[in-house]
Amino acid sequence: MPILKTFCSICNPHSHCGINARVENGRLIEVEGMLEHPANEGTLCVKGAASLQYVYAKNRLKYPMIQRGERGSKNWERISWEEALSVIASRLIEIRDQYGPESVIFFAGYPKWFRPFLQRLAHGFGSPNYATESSVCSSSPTVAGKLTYGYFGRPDLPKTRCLLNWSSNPFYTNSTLTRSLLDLREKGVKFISVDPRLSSFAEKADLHLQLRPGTDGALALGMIRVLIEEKLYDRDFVEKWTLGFDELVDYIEEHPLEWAEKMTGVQKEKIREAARLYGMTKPAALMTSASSTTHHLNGFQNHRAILLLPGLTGNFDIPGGNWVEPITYLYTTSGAPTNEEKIRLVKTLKELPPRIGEDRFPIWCRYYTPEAHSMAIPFQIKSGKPYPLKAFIGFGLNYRMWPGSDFFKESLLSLDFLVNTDLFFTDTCQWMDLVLPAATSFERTELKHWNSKYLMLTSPVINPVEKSRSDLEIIFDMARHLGLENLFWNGNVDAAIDELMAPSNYTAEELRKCPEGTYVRNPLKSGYKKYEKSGFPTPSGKMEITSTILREAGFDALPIYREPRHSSLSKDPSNYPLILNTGSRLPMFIHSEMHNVPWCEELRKDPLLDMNPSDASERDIGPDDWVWLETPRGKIRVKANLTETVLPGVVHMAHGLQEPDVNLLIEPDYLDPISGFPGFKSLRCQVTKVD
Amino acid sequence: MQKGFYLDLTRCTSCYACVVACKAHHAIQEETVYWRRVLTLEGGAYPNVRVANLSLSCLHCAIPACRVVCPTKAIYKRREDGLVLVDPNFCIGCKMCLMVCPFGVPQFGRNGKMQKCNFCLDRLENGLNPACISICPARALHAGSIDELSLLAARKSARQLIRSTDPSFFI
Repeated sequence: MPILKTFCSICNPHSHCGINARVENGRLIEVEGMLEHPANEGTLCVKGAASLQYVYAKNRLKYPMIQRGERGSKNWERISWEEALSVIASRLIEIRDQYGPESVIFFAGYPKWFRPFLQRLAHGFGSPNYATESSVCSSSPTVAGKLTYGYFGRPDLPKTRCLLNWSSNPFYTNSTLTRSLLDLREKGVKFISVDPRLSSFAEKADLHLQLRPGTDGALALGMIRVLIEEKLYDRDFVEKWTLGFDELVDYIEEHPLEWAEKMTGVQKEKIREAARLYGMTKPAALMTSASSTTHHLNGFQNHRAILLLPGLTGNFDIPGGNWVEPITYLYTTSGAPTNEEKIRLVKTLKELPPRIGEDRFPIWCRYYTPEAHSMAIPFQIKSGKPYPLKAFIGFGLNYRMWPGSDFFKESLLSLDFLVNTDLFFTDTCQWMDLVLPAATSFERTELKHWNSKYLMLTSPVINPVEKSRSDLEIIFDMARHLGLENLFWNGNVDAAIDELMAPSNYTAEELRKCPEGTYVRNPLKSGYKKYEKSGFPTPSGKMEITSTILREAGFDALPIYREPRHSSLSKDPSNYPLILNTGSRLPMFIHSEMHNVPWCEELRKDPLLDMNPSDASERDIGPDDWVWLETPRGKIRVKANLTETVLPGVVHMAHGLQEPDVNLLIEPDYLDPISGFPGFKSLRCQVTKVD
Repeated sequence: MQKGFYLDLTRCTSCYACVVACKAHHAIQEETVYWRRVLTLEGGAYPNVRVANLSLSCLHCAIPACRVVCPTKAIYKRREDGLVLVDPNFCIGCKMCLMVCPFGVPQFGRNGKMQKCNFCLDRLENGLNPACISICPARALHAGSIDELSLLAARKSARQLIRSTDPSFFI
């Protein structure tokens, strides 16, 4: 039986695992981790282990289909690709002629690899409104880094001696890091974990700061106070390379450790211990999550406060600290430069109308890649201002991603034309006018860059299931129907990959010759302390403790701590005494993915609400009791999962479930004013037993 | 030489990869049986909480209670490597084995016959580790002969689990 090489792209681009696929008579029989792959070294996570049921899931979309009659009527008719794409093209051109190209939104959920090409399609069509799920994921931390340092770097794990992990559980989010992290721990590298939960990572840390959700900024400022008080900061660096240090000192002088303790719920001795451990162990690295620190109303500033730590302690852009490596393709640092920017942008922003969200979240829009802000979409649909929106072309759209998901769905349904491309017939698909079936990584060609300086260009190991197609081919073909084939290499995917990879002198032909992948030859070398040559790429050329950009925009220049709108400290005699934290990662799911895969789904079958036994007993709730989880916006029926790993007073509900959907409980405009990120993790609720 | 497992408690993260690898390799349908399970055990109360992540399957005991009570001798122990196996042709589904197993290992699927971890015999024949071991992203789970395992375990101050059935399991 032949073993064919491919990789799994179920989760995020920092992981993805090399796969040995056994194929018999054109059918995938078994998958295993690829031993020679530097990312996963023969291992896989639980999601990858379930690949067979993922590829052959019962609810795979098999054919392009058009919904005749009303949306949601389930009156679906199978049509050919040619017909589907002709309908889409003629509708889009009609809408463009009547309302302008900007009235069409092009959206990308998961996976991510085709994104530059989708943005190219949007811009080629004339719409600035290419939007992604990054509007609630990694983009806020990215912009926070840009405003503070001009760029930011991941923790340089192999060389660090102390890892401060701020609210991430890499064992469940980036499983390829698991081995190296555990090895570091065995070598004696100190682990500090900041997490409102005793996660499987926190449980292995030397020090766990279990803070009240959303108070990350107060905790970081508390640690900074200790660093300054005890002179544990890098005075040379601060003097030469920072802007606003004096303002920071003034602020922390007014905010003693007792304040940080009161805000965060973490004992001040522990804050001191963490600051000392991080400040005195050299080098020390900071690991943050893509989004958990920024899913708060003060999240952007909280994250900025956290990001001050590496700079202040002299750990920025040094070996074993937070090392800035150039991003080469789709958020990864493979060392092989690409033409990603060139492919993404066929027009400059000046040639295009303003993007959705530019009016409301100008900083995010200006300093992230030129995307539209997904969170602003429903509001512009409703208001029609500054211009009306008419069509939504989704790739992996799930309306439940939005806070107040019902509000977003309702907005979506008021548009004239809705299309979604997906692997599965999700409940979002049921509301579309047209659905297009996509193929999994096993059935398509995909180019992948790994941080471990590794590249793969795969060929399909099985034929696409039924009539499904690679997302990239769908984009190319859609472009052809829109008369944009000259922008899309006349349909030749390999020519596109050649152009993408030209700066590192790879061709599709060459990459295909090593199906198991290849180490990048002569990877880009990034030195250390790059700021010493040309300063930081910020307005002042320094690390901006006080951000010039924020000050000019009328926000606090200093990353000060503010309580969220729904603060659990507020004095009003609320009926919602508990803090609700949503969206923590579970190992067997990634967001809404894998819930349709039985081997994963059965591992956490019920919609479980994690709550502390002390909160449960106060409410006469026993293990596995059904309960109502209620916020001012509504309530859902869930099952109590009593666990001491969560703080008393805080309950945790997983997101991504079709039913019950916790995002129904959140107001659609509960957004961070700077980043536009939803306060998914600083909500208030009540839990009561179902009678 | 007796074969068995070693679970490095300092590394297991309750990620469930082993559970699904087992199901996928043995083509076990969902909502039927588990040949391997992951248990996350908690002790204490906030703020002094301890958590243990446990990945468990048949422990291929040296003195398997299940074999002793099996009325039809369907359960047997291989001479060459001490693996405890079950011959479905002889199993009558009486569940005596389940009653005596200290770890609740025996599983009964739709055909009513006992089934459980067989150490991935098919992989063993090809010199491969069981599927749960190969997949483990934490490298927390190990398989091998008791001698090899005891060396590995000693480095982490882990030891063989002591029960009357003498499980081939280090923890």
